[in-house]
Amino acid sequence: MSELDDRIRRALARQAGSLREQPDLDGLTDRITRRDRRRIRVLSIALVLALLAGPTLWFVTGRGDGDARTDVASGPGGDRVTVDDASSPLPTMVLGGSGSSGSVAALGSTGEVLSSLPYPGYTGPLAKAFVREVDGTTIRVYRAAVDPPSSAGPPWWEPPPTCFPTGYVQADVSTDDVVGIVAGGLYAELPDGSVGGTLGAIGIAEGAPRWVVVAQAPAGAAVLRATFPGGHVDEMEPIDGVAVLVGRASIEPDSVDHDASASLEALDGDGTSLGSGTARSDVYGLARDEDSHTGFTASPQAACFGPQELPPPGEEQPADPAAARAEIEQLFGVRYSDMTDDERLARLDDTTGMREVYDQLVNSSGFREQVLGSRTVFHDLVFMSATQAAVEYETEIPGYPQLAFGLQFGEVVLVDGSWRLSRESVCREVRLAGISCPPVCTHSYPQGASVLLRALPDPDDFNGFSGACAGTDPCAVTLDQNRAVGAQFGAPKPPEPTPPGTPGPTGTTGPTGQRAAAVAKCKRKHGKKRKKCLKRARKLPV
Amino acid sequence: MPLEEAAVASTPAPVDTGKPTFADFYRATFPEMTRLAYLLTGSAETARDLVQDSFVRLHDKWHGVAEPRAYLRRSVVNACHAHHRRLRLQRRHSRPPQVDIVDLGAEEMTDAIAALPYRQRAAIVLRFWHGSSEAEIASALGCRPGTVGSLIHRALAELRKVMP
Repeated sequence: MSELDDRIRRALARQAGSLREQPDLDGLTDRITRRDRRRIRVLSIALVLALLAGPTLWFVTGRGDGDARTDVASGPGGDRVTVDDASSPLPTMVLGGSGSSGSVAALGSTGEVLSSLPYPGYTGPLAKAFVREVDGTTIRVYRAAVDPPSSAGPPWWEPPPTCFPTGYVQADVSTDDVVGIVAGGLYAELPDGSVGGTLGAIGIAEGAPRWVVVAQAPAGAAVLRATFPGGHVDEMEPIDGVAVLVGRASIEPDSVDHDASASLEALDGDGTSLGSGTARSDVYGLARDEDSHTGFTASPQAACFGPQELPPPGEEQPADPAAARAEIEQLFGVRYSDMTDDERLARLDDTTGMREVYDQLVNSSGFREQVLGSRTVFHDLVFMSATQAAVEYETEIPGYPQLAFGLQFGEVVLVDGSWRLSRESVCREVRLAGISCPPVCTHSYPQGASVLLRALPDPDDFNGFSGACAGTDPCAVTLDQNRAVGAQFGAPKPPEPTPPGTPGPTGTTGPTGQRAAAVAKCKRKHGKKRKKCLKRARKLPV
Repeated sequence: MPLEEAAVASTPAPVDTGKPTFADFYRATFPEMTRLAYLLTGSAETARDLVQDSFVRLHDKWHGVAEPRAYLRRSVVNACHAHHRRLRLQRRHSRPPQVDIVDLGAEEMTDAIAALPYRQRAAIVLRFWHGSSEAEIASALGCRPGTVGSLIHRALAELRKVMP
């Protein structure tokens, strides 16, 4: 033990030993009784208010594209589905959809959910956190009411807390001229001595630009200060660790600087700096900038790219691990062999939207040669349960050594007695080729809640709902059990979403959806064309 | 109502798992927790108050908490942290300062520990006085074990300055 350790121990022991406090059971009993009385009083008041006010809606959403630089008022329209009526948690509704617009930035009315969900956007319910008025600008701040979905890596991998946001803040900013949304992520932990922040700008097209920073303060910060490009400074006392700062900006519509940044500083109550940072529009993982010691950089950290080893085995293992292992090795080995799409889909646990994904991956000339020529080097696997395993492998692509991805990890699950590739892990892999799987969004509502879904397509671009809804009219779904709804914009076949926890269908369009979609499409035509079209559509099976 | 009766009346009968009664646990751990809070706040009165409040919170969850000592330790550390934050905010808003009577240590090392930022101070107290492991400190502070190492490292660097 060092002398310093010893001195610390002695100093603490001496100080603690000087205290002569005795337990006070009566005092504690008093406190408990007082607390109980207070609770009963608060509960009574809440009950009276609830009776007077009746049920209220708490689902309030409206969002940008998840990127910070969102110019809502002038943004493109786009395909989206609105949820007009919803309240708090329980059964799950799945909104499966595919849309041509991956980045929607239209001003959302209350209760709007985008059908197309670009990461790291968040489409779950929001809870109002606070309102700030500054210089004629009103900022309404909402926070994610449930944890945002993470597409960070395998479900069993726990990335460092500074890699991916675990929370979401959305600031709806309105001035006399414009309304805009800037969103940012919240991290489980900030690097020591740093401040996290995302920079956005609103009102560029309207000629009334404002910088907006959504910032996460370190623990103990009493003030957050932002210095915007151009030198304007704004300060705010963080509320629950969050501050939204605005500043005057001078940005011409044609000269947007996407590398702009604002410097941030956190101060404690005495004005001492607790940390600093830089708010950028493309934050991806927070890493301390070790060279300058002045905050964090926005560049990805090596540790954020993925796990380095398999997870520990689960308590339950398959009855015959050797046989299971052989089956999984075989499954992995042939996953990109030359086979039909139906054969590929049959190897997946959930086929939602995957036919289109395989189309892009295997049937397009860009990737076909590489994909079919690729070879899987199977390293190892671990059974996380009797029905789920994580696999470590590498992919070799002869002739393309530059495409070596290093160690990769995937998951397989046991469905109806046979091992299948998990859709999620296939989607992670195809993302390396720049292909995105159609999003599957889930939301939870109270048992029995009625939710009205309405499609808001670009003109004449909606082909219909599928799953628990059909046709193109607004559709009411009663959530007496888990429900799945798909919405298809701008493509011929509505997707068939898969309810959570059940194996997926084949991925083809259900007959009800096909007919409804075809009829709906015909209704937009006129005269003879409409009649002919309807005749054809009605021949489709119900 | 005496605490023993209150505890029994307001909570379902526990399955006998060898867990002490709430009152016995209170008697056994109160001195240790008060000392911990004292080392973290520097005030005996505040320490007593915060620890009593932590026991009230624990009483609510008594039969659902598997590790009451760890739960309580975290609760006390959090309460002391919240206390520090409140003090700072009060100072910032220039309200008449709340008189927080701090017992002076009359010892350089004690004063140096008291001057550390809260999380560093808590990490030092839990490590050197309480004998907690890094994992336990991480759990009490609500951070990752790696962060604990860094907190202690920086605190020791600061405390080394008062060594002769």
